[in-house]
Amino acid sequence: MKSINNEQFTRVMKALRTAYNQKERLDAGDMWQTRVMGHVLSMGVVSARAGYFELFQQFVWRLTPVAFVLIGILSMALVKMNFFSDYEFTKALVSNSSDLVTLAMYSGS
Amino acid sequence: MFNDSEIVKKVLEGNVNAFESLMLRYKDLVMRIVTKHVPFSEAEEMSQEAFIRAFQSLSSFKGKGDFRQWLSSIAVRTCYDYWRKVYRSKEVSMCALTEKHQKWLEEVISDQSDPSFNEDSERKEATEMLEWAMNELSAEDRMVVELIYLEGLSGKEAAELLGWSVANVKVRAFRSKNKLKKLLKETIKR
Repeated sequence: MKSINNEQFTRVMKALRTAYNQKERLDAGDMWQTRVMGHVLSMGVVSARAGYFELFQQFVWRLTPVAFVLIGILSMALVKMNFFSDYEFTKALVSNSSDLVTLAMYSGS
Repeated sequence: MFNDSEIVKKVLEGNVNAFESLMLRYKDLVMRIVTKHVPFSEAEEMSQEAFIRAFQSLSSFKGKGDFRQWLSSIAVRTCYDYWRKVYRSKEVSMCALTEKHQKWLEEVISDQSDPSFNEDSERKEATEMLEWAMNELSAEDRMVVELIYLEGLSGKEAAELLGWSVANVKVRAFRSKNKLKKLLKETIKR
């Protein structure tokens, strides 16, 4: 036998399913329950505030891709609007206090 | 007799002891889920972990929903995290297949009757074969195969338990089924 067809595969899966369903069951006793409750009690009170924090975290992480997309769009828009060259030009003018005449000319006063 | 939502409310109001009644109510459910997904020796610890996680995130439980479903989801995700951790640390025990397993596989393939294990040895080989096949898959594929093909859940039900999208579960189910098929083919060819 060199290969396995769909019907044969289904048969193997059925056998594996039978083995899976016959897995040994665990019956935890009172000791286990006492141990878990001891652990829970040592953790103290769970307040609803913790839930708000979790919700906040979930919200922030969900917004991450949106934030990245917005940053990308804004950057592209700024590049297209030639904002950076205008900004550099203005910065150069402002930093050079001796050239106040040019600055006045550009600012319209 | 308080319902689940009322008990959750009590716990959140500071009565931590009330959590024990939830544990009593759902202990068997969590044990049943966990023993199916993780090795027997780890089941107690993982069940404990599932209840602790449930307690820690109790405030995120929406009272109107089904607590049983919510807790089942936590138990399944705890098992998934267990496998992720095991695979990451490369502690997966790889049991080698012997001639017995191969023979068992060939018998199952050629036998037309329903698979039922009359002898303990047959059951042992089937269980070992199952363990081997699952260990060959990734943690994600393993969970999907167990939930969909071995437990018979729908893609939507598995997705809800794992907290994944239905599309993701369906794609994984398809791929993992092919992986399994390939593995079995290779086993027969040996």
